[in-house]
Amino acid sequence: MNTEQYINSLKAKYQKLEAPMHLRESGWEELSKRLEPAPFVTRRFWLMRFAFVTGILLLVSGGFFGFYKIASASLPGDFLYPVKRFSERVSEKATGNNQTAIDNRAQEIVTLAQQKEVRSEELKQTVQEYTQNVTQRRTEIHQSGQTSSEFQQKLDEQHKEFDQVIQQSPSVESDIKDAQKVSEHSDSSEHQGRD
Amino acid sequence: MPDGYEHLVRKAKKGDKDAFGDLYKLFLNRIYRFVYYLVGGDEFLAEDITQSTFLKAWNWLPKFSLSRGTFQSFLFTVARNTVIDNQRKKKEFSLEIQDSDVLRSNEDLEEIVSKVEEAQEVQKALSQLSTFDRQIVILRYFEELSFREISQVVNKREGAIRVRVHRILGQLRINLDGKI
Repeated sequence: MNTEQYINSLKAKYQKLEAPMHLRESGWEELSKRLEPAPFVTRRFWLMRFAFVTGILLLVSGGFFGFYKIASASLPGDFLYPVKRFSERVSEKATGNNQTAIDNRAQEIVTLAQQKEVRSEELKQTVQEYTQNVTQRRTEIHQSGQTSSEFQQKLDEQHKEFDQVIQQSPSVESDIKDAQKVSEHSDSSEHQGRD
Repeated sequence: MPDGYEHLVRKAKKGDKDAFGDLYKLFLNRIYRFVYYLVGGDEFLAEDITQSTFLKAWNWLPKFSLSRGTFQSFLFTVARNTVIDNQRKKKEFSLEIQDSDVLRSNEDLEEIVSKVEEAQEVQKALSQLSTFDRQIVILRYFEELSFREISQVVNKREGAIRVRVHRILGQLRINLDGKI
């Protein structure tokens, strides 16, 4: 007898074994009584699946939110800075104005000016962009005839922040004077308008 | 699925108890045999584990996907895991056949004696193998599962199963030479 014949003879004997008679006759009847109702199983399954998907969505949205927050705090030259600029463009498309860009540039000017080693090139570039953005926004408001009080209020706040930065670090005055001037100019012209 | 019970699996997955009942009847003997030889011929225990296997299979069925494997590999996986769970709770099973268990059925005495002898012979041959090898031999040669299905049941790579089968054959050959 070779191995194959040996295995085949064992297989034939193996397959002769059957489940006990009572299991064959009433096993299913006994078991079916113990089965949970199918709708419950299905409902539980879908609930678990819903919880899993919700968890994943929360994780992804949490991760995205964290990523967005880190990108929002980035400065010119940082790795995530392009993400911040991209989100500004999206915001501009959505709102129809560049207020987010103005606010971000103002915040960057303050942060860059307060750093121990001032990155002069980045600061100048940011000031230039801030000036351009403010001028653009002001022109838009003027042309559309919209009220500018909210815009002006923000510029006032930014102007105050620039003043505080200059008081703390007088050496950056020359770098940020254009930003200070454009916000100041807006302020005075508004006052003149009111007068 | 070549076996032609795919429609039953699909219905059972949707909660059709009758379809699952048909699957139970189709697989009862196969699962019982597999469990019986894994637990060393304890008929009471084999019955209990067989019923638990089908109960667990019903509960897990909504998660089973036909695209990931066959229903028989799913069922044998549940059976194997149920045996392992049971073994964890109890001592290692003896491979001595328990005649009294087989004799409690109402079949013809002569037939029963013949079955006991044959079961003993199978048990004796399998007892020369390790628990893992025993599972491989049963699944591959007695239940004719594919290497892919076996790899799903025992949770090992397909290549590892092929190598294992080759070694088991070598060992069986040696055992057989000694017998002759």
